Order: sequence, then structure tokens, then C-alpha cells
Amino acid sequence: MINISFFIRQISLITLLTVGVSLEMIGGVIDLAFAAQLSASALVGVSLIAGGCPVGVGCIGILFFNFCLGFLKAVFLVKLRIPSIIFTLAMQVILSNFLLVTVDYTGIVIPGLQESYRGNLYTVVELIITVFCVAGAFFFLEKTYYGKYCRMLGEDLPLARENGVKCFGISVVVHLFSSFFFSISAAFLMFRTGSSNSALGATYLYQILTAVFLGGILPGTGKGRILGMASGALAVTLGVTFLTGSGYLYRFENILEGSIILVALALGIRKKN
Amino acid sequence: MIKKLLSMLLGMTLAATVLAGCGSAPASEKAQEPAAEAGTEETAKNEETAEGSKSYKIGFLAPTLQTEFFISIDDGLKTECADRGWEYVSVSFDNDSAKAVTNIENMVTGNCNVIIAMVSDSSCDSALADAQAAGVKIMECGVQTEVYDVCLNTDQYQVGVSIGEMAAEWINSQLGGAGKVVVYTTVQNQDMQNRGQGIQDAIAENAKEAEILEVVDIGKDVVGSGTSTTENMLQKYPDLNCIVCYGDAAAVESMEAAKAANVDVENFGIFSCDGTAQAMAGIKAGDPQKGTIMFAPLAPMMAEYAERVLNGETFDEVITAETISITSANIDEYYTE
Amino acid sequence: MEQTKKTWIDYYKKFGIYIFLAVVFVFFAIFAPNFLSSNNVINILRQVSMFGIVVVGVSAVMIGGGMDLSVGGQMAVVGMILGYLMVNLNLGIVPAILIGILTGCIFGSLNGILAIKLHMAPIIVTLSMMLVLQGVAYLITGGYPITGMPEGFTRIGQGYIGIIPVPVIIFLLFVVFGWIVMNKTYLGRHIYALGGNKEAARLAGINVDKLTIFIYAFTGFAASIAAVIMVGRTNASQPGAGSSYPFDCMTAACLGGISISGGEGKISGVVVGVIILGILDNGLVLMGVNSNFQSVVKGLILLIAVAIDCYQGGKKKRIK
Repeated sequence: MINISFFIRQISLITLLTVGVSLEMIGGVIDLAFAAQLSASALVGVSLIAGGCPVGVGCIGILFFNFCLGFLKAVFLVKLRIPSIIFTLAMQVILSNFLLVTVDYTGIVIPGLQESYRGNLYTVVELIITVFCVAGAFFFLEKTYYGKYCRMLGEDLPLARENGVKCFGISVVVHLFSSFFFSISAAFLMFRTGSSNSALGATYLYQILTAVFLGGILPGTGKGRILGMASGALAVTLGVTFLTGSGYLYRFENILEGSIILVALALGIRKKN
Repeated sequence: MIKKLLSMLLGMTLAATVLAGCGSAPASEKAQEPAAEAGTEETAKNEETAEGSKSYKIGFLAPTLQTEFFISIDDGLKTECADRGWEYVSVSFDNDSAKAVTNIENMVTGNCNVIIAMVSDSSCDSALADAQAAGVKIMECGVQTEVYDVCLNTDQYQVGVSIGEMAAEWINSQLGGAGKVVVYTTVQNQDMQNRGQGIQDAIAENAKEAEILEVVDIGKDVVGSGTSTTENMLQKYPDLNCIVCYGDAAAVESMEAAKAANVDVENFGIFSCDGTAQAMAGIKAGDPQKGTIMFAPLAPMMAEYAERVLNGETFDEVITAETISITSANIDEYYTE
Repeated sequence: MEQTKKTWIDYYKKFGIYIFLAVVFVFFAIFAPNFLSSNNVINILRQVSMFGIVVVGVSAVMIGGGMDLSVGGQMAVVGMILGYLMVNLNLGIVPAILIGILTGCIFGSLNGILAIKLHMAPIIVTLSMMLVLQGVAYLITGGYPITGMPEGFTRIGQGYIGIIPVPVIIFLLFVVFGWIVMNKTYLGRHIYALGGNKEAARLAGINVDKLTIFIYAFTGFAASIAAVIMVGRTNASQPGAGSSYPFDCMTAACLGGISISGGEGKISGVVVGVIILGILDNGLVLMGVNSNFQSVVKGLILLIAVAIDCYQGGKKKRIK
């Protein structure tokens, strides 16, 4: 039971992050800053709780912080037309180093927080939240106009602009929606560790990108399905579990992630042609 | 389509592998059993009974496996486990508590009998407690939290004091007390901050006429930062004659930078910690590197206590890892070219 | 109607980098102790020399419309190979360096080939290569650094010719070479054409595929030279070398006026960008500023530089 519990918690987190990043990528944005965003927002939440606020306020703080960053992304990427990968790379460097300047790797630990949110009940709650969020993402992407316009933005932003699509508005909605997923993930991390520091969640960056590419979501195509995202998340979760248990992860993790992304790109291009 | 099929196939294959592993492992059954009895068969998940030999699986969780200090512990544990016929896995969490929690869970899934956790704080306590509940023995190293079966710890402040004392002794004997010192520290974690404070306090206490010109946060382990920082410090403080570092990585770069700047090697001292080969080679060769602190081999100690805890011993006291100060006076005992 | 009135962006593009250099220099001259001395200037130049060599290569790629984030990984692998050949296999210095340079060129060419074959933004391709190369660097010796380079090798990183450090001389030679190629040869013009409009370049008869591979191979060459100097400077091959280079190189190039979209930028501007970053690093350390704060400053610089570049690019399109 404990093993299944571990698995559910891990796949919940990776699925949420994969869906969040995938939505952005379908909209034409390659986000390298989401991991730093996780650390920063979790730190906001932990700081509020450590400062005496109720847990709910901490969670709202996480949400608000992520929404602000999501809005900022839309402004820089659509209004100022900065290439997404460069903007998010800069944002990641600024955020992670700013956190190091302020709280370093020591961070803030709240005794008792992780104990209070531990056990199979909370695992089930996390799973239910994840399922609802993924269902919401499916509805957004497949059943709403925002989803359709999001794909248009991802496929050809200049053309969408010329055709009168309100690119900035759509981009704001997409980034806010993704930020919602990042907020839930940050909250999960906060409860799981009862703490936050400048590196919390930072190691998920390339794992999630691998899951996204493995799930068939490619930048510049506007294509991607929820099933693909879930498949990618499942594959990465199981891969990490298996490789950790067999002791190969740290040696080959970077090589595997880079290779998988390249192979996924190659397969995606073959399909496109 | 191909990619989706591939990823689903990969997922199903891995799922089958992992679940097969879960199914055959007694860990999931052991979770229901009380962990009150120590040193019984319940803790030996991978026990083989061929002629009474026992085979365990040891998991090592390190903050990073990209610095020489932790790599040497990893290699040492690999050797110790191979000698004992044990399986061994190692992972790093790269200072990310979330990854540490995930790695602990996956090592439990991977049927580890002992997890040697060099965690940074108490953020992994729940995961370690879950691992204990699954019958896994927890050895904490480098930090003492609430959850462990045995704890190996070194007071990092005292390590810093040892480094500082070594430097102070040299300043007094070689420079007549007229030391102009720069301290390199890092805010990687609380331990390194404690070490840095220990250095400063020891120099202030033992070399009262020496002056600490600056305490530099040298940042993360960026290759080349020791070199450029030393060049800048030599520029800023022309009379600088002693650098005391939190670790050998920065110290050996400083050594090269100091040599390139043609400092008076006899009257320029660099002191640090870790006891790496390059640092000891510098001490042996009479370079600016004048001393380093070496930890008593941690891997054999970890393996020994892992065996003892698996055999049912309990440890109420924290076990302290010894340190050895290495200078030109005793370098030959610890380093041969 | 053609826009004849010069905007502030035009002035920024022409003079901004030099104004910024002057401001930064004066600021640190006033506030950083011991900043203004000939030794410190030499210090700064020596510290930026490796980085500057790589930036020249990355700039050529960016002018050609691409991007290379794998330079750090290339440096790490080449450095480890150098150390392995000289220390573990006792190979001579010159053969080891030649093999290292060849390895760098091969990695660079591989980037170019992948960028062409995958038809995907080179930044993603090189990001993946960066991950792979970082992993490979650690596999060579299991993560241990290789120390104790042969006598004479360290002169490449630590030696002087007169009062000028050897790395600075290599850097200056590289810059001159880069400037000549980009400004005085057909190759340079083709690179600008490639970055300006790939399809037009192809229709004009330029072999865009070969040119792309060549530019990336040149970046690999630059990374390998930088690796040689780094190993010489530290007397060790480190698997983690070059980790901060991808971001820093992009920052220096953008600061120096290289356009993200390609086809624009000068090597002279890039050199100024490199020197500005070197002054920032040096000056902030002399002032005792936290090293992480330096990275925050660099991140902000990159954002502002790219924002101005993109704003100008957008304006030009709207005017047309």
C-alpha cells in the first residue's frame, strides 16, 4: 500500500506539472522558468504560514504569486515579443539566484506541517485534485474557444495576430490556467516537505520537459492531447522510480533526458513531414 | 501516433517491472508489521538463506554526487557493499527536498534495507518515517533530525574550528602572527555556514594579531569561481597572505591562481577541508596549499554501522566522525605520489 | 514611407553599449576598492578571455539565426578528454590539444546536423545536447576531476608573454580572426544573409546546410579552445566546467548588439559586451557583493537587451 501511495503522489505531481507546461507549449511557449516558479511560490506560501497566517492564506499566496508571474509572461512574450525560451531562461536565472540571495538553500522549515498532511487520506485527496485538474484541462483545450485559439497561437502567432485574434488576452488566460497547475504543484510540494528553499522543485525542470516531449507536444505546432500528456507523465514517473531503485538515475539522468527529447523531436518531425 | 504508442508501451513495460518488483518484495507486506523488533528477519527484505549468508540492499542519498567529497563516499560504499555481497544504489537530490522525498520513496520501492540519508534538514522526516514503517533502517549522516535508527554526524562548526586552528598555527609560526586572511565560505546549507563561522571564530581566538580582511561567499560550486575570486582578492588586498576555504574545491583553484600570481609560496598559506588528492598533492609539493582537514573514511564507517543496525543493534548516541588535520608535518602518512 | 527620423533605439543600437561600458567603468572606479589599476584591468581581461572566445563562436551562430546552449557541456567534455589523454594516457600536450579541438568541432558539427535534420529551433536541440554532454562529462571519470597536468601545459592558462597573460593574447587573436571572417570575407556575408533570411539566402545560391554546420563547428572549435585555457588555468579537468556559460554567453552577445532573430550584430559590439560582464563580475566581487546577486543582475541585463531588440524588430515590421 505504501508503494502505491508513493506512486500516486509522484504521478500526481508530475502530471500536474506536465499538463501545465504542455498547455503553455501548445500555446507556443517553451517554459524553462516553471521550476524556479515552483520554488519561489512555495516559499511565498511557507513564509506566510511561518509568519502566522493560516494554511489557506498560504495557499492563496501561492496562487496569487503564480498568477502574477503568469501575467508577466504573457506581457513579455506577446506584448514585447521576446522569444519564450530566452525570457523564461532569464526569469529562471533571476528567480533562482534571487531566492539564493534571500533565503539560500537553508530555506524555511515549518515543524509539523508535513506531519499534519501525511497519510493515505491526503494521498487520495491529491489524486482527486489531480484528476479534476486534468479533466478541467481537457475541457479547456478541447471544448472551449480558448483552447482552439491557444492552438492557433502555438501554430502561428503572427498569423493569428493578423487574423484579429486577441493574442494577448488568450495568452493571459493560458498562462493563468497553467499557473493554476503550478500553484497546486507548489502547494503539494510545500505540504510534502513542510518547507521551501531556493531549490525546491528545481530538479523537475528537465524531467517535466522530457515528459512533455514524450507526450507528443512539440513547440511551434499547436498540437497536443491530454492523453499524450498523461502518457508522458506516466512514463517519466515510472522511469524515475525504476532508475532510482536500480541506482542508475544520477549517472544517466541527464543523458537520458537529453536523448529522449532529441528522439521525441525527431519522431515528431517525421510525423509532421 | 508512434510517439504516443512508444510512450504508452514504455509506461506499461516499466509499470509491469515496478509492480512485479513490488509484488515480489516483502516490503509491502512488511508495512503492516510492527517495526518494534530490531534485528530480526523482518528487516532483511532480500534475505537469501544459501548457507546462512545474508544479502542486503543499501541506498545512499547524497545532496550531490558531483563533488569529489560525495563521489568518494559513493565509491567507498560501493566497494564496501561489494565486499559484503550487498546490493547498492545511490542517488542525489541536488539540494531539492522534494527530490529527496521522491528518492527515499523510490528506494523503498526498490527494496532497500538501509537508507543512508545525508539530508539537509527535517523536510524529509515524513518520508523517512514512512520508510521506517516499511521496515527500512535509516542512517542519517551529517545532520540529526527526529527520524533515524543511527546517526553519524560531525559538528561542522568544529570542523571549521579545526581548519581555523590549523591556519592560526601556521600564521603564528610562519608569519609571526601578522596574517592577512580572506575566508571563503558558501551559503549552500546551514552546515557550510556553521563551518564558515567556526573558521572565523578559531582564527579570531588563536591568531589574535591576524586580520580577517573579508569573508567571501564564493557561491555554488562553479568551476573557475575559486580562480577568479582569488585573482580579485589578490587585487583588492595586495598584502593578502592567507586564504581559508570551506572546501578543497575552491582551495585548489585558489592555489593555482596564487601560483600564477607569483606569490611568495613560503609565506602564503591556503587551508581547507575534504582531503582531496589535489589538495594533498599541493601540500606535498610545497605549494601555497598548506593544510587540509580529512574526514576519517566515512564509507567504511557507514557500512559498519549499517551492518550493526541490520543485526539489531540500537544506537541512542550520535556517532561522531573523526577528522584529521593534514599539513606538511604528516602529509607522508596520508598521501603518496 | 521610409522612416528617416532616428529614434532612441537607433541611438542605443549605435552608442548604447559604449555608454553602458563607460557608466559601469566609472561606477566601479568610484565604488570598488582597487578597481582602477593596470593589474586589475589585466585581471578582468584574463578572466573574460575564455568566456570571450566562446562568445565569439556563439555570436557567429546567433548572427546566422541559430543558438547554441551546449557550449558549456562541450567545454566540460573536451576538458575531461584533455585531462584523460595527458594524465591517464600520458599523451603529449600538442596531440592532446589537437584531439580536444577535433572533438569540439565534432560536437559542434553534430549540433548543426541535428538542427538541420530535426527542423526544430536550434535552441531546443542544443538544450538537449547540453544535457547529454553534461552527463557524458561525468561518466568519463565517474565525476572525479583529473589533476596534475604536464609541466608546460599550465602556461597556456597561467603564463604571460611580457605583461600580457597568454589567455588574453589567444582571446585577442580569436577576436581579430572573427572580425576578419565576419566583415572581410564572403563567408561572413553569407552568415549574415543566412541569419537575415534563410530562404532568400538559399535562393541566392548559398548552401545553407553546409554553412549552418560550419558555424556550429566553429562554435565547437571556440569551446574547445576555451576548455584548453580553462584546464590550463585550474590545472584540473572538472566535469562541471562551463555550467554557467550558456546563459552568460547569450547575455554578452545580446548586450553586444547581436539580434536574437539573426542577421544583425558586430563582433566589436560582442567584445564590449564581454568586457562589460567581466567588469560587472570583477567589480561586484571587489565590492563584496553576493555572487548570486551578480547572476540576478545578468538576468536583468539579458531581459532588457532582448526586450529592446525585440521592440525594435517589431517596430521595423510595423513600419513596413
